[in-house]
Amino acid sequence: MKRLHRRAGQWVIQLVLLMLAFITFAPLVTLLSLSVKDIYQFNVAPMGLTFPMRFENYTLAWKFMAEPIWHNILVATVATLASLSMASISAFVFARFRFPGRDLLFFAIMILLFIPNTVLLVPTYQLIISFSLQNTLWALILPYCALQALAIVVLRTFFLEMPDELFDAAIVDGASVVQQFTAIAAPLAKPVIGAMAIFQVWVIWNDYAWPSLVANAPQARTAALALIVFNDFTMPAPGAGMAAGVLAALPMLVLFFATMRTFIAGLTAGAIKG
Amino acid sequence: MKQSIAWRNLALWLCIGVLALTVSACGMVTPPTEPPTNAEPPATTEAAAAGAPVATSSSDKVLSGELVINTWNDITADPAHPSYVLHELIQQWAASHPDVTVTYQPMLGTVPERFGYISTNLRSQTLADVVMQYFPSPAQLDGDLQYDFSADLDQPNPYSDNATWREDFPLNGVALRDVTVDGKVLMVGSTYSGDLGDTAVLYNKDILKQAGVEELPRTWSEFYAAMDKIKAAGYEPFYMPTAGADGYIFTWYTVLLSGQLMDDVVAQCDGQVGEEQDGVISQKEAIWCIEKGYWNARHPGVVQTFEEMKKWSQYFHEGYLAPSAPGNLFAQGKVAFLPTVRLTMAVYENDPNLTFEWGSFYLPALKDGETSPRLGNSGAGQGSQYLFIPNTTVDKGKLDLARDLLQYVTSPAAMEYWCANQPIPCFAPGTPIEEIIPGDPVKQERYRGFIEPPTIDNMVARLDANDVFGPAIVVQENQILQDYLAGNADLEQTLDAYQAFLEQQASNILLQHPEWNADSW
Amino acid sequence: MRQSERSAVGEPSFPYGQRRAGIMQGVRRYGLFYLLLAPTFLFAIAFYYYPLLSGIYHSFTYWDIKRTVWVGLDNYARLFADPATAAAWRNMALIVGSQMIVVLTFPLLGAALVHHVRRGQYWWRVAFVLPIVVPATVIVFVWRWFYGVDGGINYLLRLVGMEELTRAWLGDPATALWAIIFVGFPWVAGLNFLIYLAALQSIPEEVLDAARVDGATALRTFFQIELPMIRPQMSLLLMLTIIYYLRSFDAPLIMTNGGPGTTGTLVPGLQMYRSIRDELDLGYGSAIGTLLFGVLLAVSLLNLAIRQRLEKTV
Repeated sequence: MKRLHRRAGQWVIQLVLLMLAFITFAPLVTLLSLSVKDIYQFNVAPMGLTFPMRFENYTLAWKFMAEPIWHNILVATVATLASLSMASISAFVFARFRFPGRDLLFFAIMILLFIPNTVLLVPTYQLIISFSLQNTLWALILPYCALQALAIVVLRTFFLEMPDELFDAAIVDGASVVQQFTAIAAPLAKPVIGAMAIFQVWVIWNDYAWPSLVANAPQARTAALALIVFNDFTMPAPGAGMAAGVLAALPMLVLFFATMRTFIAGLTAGAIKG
Repeated sequence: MKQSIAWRNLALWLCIGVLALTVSACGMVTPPTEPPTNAEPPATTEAAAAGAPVATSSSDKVLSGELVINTWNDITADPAHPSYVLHELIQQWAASHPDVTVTYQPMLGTVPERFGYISTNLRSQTLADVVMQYFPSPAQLDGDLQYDFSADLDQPNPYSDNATWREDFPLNGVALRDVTVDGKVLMVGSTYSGDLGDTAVLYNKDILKQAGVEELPRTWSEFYAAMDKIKAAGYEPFYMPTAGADGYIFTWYTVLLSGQLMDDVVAQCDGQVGEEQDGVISQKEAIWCIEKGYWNARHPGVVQTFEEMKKWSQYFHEGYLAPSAPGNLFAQGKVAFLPTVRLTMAVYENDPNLTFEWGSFYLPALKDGETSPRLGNSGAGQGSQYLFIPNTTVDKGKLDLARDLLQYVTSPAAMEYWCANQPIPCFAPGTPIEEIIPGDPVKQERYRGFIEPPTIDNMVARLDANDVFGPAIVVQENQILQDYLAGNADLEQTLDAYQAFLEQQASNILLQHPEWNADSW
Repeated sequence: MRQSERSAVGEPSFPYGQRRAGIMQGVRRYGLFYLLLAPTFLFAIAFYYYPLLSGIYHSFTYWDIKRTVWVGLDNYARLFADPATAAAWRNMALIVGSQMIVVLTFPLLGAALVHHVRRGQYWWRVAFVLPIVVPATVIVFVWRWFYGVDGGINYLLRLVGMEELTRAWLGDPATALWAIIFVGFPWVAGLNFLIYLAALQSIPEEVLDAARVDGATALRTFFQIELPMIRPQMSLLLMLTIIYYLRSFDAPLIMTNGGPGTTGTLVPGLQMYRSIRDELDLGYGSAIGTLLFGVLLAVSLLNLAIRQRLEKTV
């Protein structure tokens, strides 16, 4: 009796999950189906599949989106590499050494977690403008490089929990601070650094407001921004506009399927800051 | 020994971060070195396609260097677009100067965004060497930061036989009038007649027929009667976006209405504070007008404009308060009237899906028996495609190069080339359309609204938020009106909000112009 | 690996060399630490500390890139006098309030179900993570189409014969703000889901077994045991939601630009953004930013205080 009860419960769970997943994915599936419609199909039958599928929409969208997607990949890669190199060595220094002012300095980094970049939008904009960096990729790379606080806090905890014995032998051999980091700490921290890196890439890829302010020109536009400009300004065939949406999402999907485990770990760790 | 290893490692590690930045990004970050974004192969390769130069320089100065041009849109993209001819002219010029390369940086974005782009980059000194734009606004002109052409205009243009460059501009240089501030000419117009910024209303003839509208409305009440019939026939009468990428259309029609109702204010404010009395309100005159209270939200003209818009709004397309969705309601045959700009006519002329008959007309005047004033940022047929040189170009030592290009594209020969390659030929304002496009009734019908009534001496006076504060800020005016149209605010609240808006913007502009000595007004 | 068998966490270790070092060497040793920290701090100063101070200072000026004019409290006077400000904060409060309810219900439901499902748990988890990977802009973009006059929602309504309910969802002042709140419905997929799931999965089996032996039903186990055990995560997520939606404005920016009307979907962040993009009035924007910062700081401190008190009472 009870087992029957439980099995019925499982069915209910599966059913509810299926429903939730259906609603969750409906917009995305609609996006996919809209992206292969010509203007007539788009107006008459927006929901559901129509034939023939117009894949030329993607050719059109790709023309506009290729450059911005490349910009985004470049920005995300460079900024993530740079910010994590800086953050991980800082975290290591904070975790394993004592020097005057250490706690104060760490506190100075900690409180950055409570300063969302949005409230600094105006002065950061002015900073970029005064160095004439707007509409270059630097306007994106440099501020994104400053996103280090979370990585430092997470990595510091990790390094702090490393047993001293790990380093003893190296120290006896006279390894320097940097050698200790590169030879022992960094390799062990690889999964954590990887997770933080993915989170960073995700944050950068998701940003819209900042690029729309400082990089709204063809030479620096990012994918999210290009999607909106393509649709609102160039007034493409509506299907091509939707295809651009698919293209803007594609690189992250590829990254996700390539690094699923690390990706989920990164998001979970990153979510703490939100 | 160990110390030194540590230091070396340290240096190495620090370099990784910095090098990662510099090396991997360096080549891609600086705009001029990135050819694909400009969608433009090196000038020389395309020069052949553009044809031989239509004018040669009488000066024997050899020009060389690289010239970067901010363009309003991608002028290479569509040969049917009127701006493509400018691209051809620029390529001709480049071809005749083999040591010169030209690169384009299109601006893209909504109209307000592009104005924001120009203002921001002008102030931060990061514009390209030459900037091409449509619809120049008095609010964006800045004599401190833009090159002043007035001295050059009194000299001959090497590409022309006229005594001075100024004479190259037809119709007594009307194109230069609205871009002159304090005697400084801050832009030159590259097109001359048949203003590309002219507005008109397209109509779907099939819908009009079905609704029983036999003739195009000639008075404001006939216009309303027509919209009533269209609505009764189950169609949407008037496409009027109030937000989003084409929200500027709503702004323009607000200007068109208020432009007919505020003659007394214009008369009071024109020619004040040392400005010329020319029938056109400059930014300085307008601010004086606000400060003195002549232009205020309680003026009957403003009130009537708002009330008229509210009456009109019952005929606007469904969802006119939201940014427009993809797809064109006019092309789909759902809406009878579509206001547009001549600049975008190619979109409709070349659309194979437009299976119905259509044409264009200009809205009748609010008061019976009057002619409605012509709208379009410049009017008077002087064209609205402008070029200017930021002062930074002068600092870079590229003035000769930039000015030579501008002289080429504004020379009489280039103008002739321009006119010969436009969808409709150039014409003097007041010419009947039957003479401009002879023997082509279909085309006559499509372009009539842009040409009749004639523009000359019949323009809005520019006492409006769009001209005085600029197209970026005017989004606020749209939204104040939206509140009123949607019934979220009553007339009193709307007028209060509008007055606050006028005063706020005026006080900001006064802060920008300490040289006006507004305290002494 | 080795991390798992870590020793008790005590003070960080010290290299032997340091103890033996002379003064000069000590200075050099410390110098190295500061040098290693320098890049981090360079960026922190350039993109956090300097902008913070600059923003506060410039909120007292008229600042349009070209010139800076000290105007005292004018910007704040304008900010508080503008009826749009009150409306923007009201809109934001509505969004924050709704999202607080959302974060406590849908993602939790999703996580609980996935946690208890027996078959295909892994795939369900992947399925509910997948939508987070799609950039938020794309999601907002799709929803914008759904809300259009000829968009998906109206199409479906017409399909089921509820023609009279169709409207321009983003153009109707009565629905625009709700439309923006409803973006992402049913809000299951997301970071919140991941955190709940991780929390549920970390509940020790023994606790649950004990309950099961007592014969508690699944529902009762959930409400009496699991829910109380993930309360810390719930309060954390609540906090993060508040902070996030206090400042977020991407959706109104992309969907409505704050409209319809002056206040339809305006939020303070967007008000700030538009003061830069449309007006080039950086001083006014700074004033809005400073106010936002103050409120965020207050909320964060309040949160800290509450947590400390809670910890003490426990």
